[in-house]
Amino acid sequence: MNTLGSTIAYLLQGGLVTFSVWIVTIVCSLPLAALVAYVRKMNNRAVNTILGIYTTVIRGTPLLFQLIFVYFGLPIILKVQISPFVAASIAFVNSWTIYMSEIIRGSIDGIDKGQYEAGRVLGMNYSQIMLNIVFPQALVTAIPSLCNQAIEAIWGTSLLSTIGMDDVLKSARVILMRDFSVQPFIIAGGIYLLFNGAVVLLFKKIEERTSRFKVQYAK
Amino acid sequence: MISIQNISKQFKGVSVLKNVTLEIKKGEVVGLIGPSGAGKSTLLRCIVNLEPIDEGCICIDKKKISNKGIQTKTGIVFQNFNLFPQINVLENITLAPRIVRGVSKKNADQQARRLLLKVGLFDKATQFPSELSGGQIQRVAIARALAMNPEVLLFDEPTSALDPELTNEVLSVIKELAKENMTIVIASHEMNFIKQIADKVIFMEQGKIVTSGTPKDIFDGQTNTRIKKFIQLFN
Repeated sequence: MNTLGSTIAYLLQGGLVTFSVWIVTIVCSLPLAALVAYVRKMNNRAVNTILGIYTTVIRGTPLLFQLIFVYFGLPIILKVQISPFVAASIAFVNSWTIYMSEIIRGSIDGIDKGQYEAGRVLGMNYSQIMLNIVFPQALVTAIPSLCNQAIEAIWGTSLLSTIGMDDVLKSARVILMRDFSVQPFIIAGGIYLLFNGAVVLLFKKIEERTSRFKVQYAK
Repeated sequence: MISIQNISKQFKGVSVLKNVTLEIKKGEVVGLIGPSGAGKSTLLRCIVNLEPIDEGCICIDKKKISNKGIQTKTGIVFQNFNLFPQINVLENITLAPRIVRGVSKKNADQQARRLLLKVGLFDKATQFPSELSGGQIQRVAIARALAMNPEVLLFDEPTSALDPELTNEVLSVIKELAKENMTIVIASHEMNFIKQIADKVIFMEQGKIVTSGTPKDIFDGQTNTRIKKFIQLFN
């Protein structure tokens, strides 16, 4: 007989798969996105054209398409076998790097010109200004949008079963098929909600910690 | 010390500086007055190299400033402050000395505290810009500019964005610097203040220096009716 406890344990195992892909996505994408935004701000025409086209491709095709392409297509092109986890990581990090870089780029554009000038007259060069003045401010302005992206990354993991990974949703479906009960779905929904709540809380905390410098010259 | 020779500057075909020539001696306080759009700010921005000039040349200590190079012999205080909001007051002051000059944190902090004492904000070191008043922010901006030990300090309408009540605390800091023989160029509409501290006053209009002279010449013995009218507006 299957007890509620073993159902939960099984779903949490799926939750671990979901979480591991998510954490890899966020931890790798954020610095990469900042880097891409930085490179695009250097205004090298050739580099920007290439990155612009690439961004259009990544944002213009569904995540499911990319996931399947990386898992089934990439091994054919590169002639190497890759595990579902590696394939998922590549696809997710790639997409979220692009999504987040666009957000950070937007916030960089929102930084006052006077900030660059203040840096310049103090003798700072371009990269010193970007690193010490512009990026910290841009990242803070971007927190709410980045939080949204982090949540969308959780939703994205529900596609993992298409490349044979047993995430929360897949695990719930397995038990549902076997027991013909909606109970696992309700539990899976609860796991998603808790996960979401934790992410939102985390970003809220970060936002609070930066609130002292968020309001610019409000007085 | 600063020699500006026949400089001209255009923005999209509009001439904002026309053949401006000016000598600034060491320890001199130069007041720039004139209506909005006269080119006062542009002139200051050209001296600190924020704007490239189209013609003429600017020499500081007989060395021509290039259009690309970074100018740290001159410091500038902006009308709208431009403090860095993401770091506290002390860090605002120490950032440039540390990353540009490689000064150690300890030395930079020490110098910053000295400067804060000078502008009367010693107790605000750990506050963030958002927690200060406009007058306090501008005084921090002055300390930040001084931290790079500039030989000339430029002020671009430093009190125009401030309440009248907060203006004096900023002006008294500038006055203090003038007393210490700092070379200063200040664009301002505070006529009484300019009259008090300037060694030389320059009246600009439409991108040109119309006249220059001692405060006495400009404010008291003025014969040019246009300038007379302009000065009277502020009294």
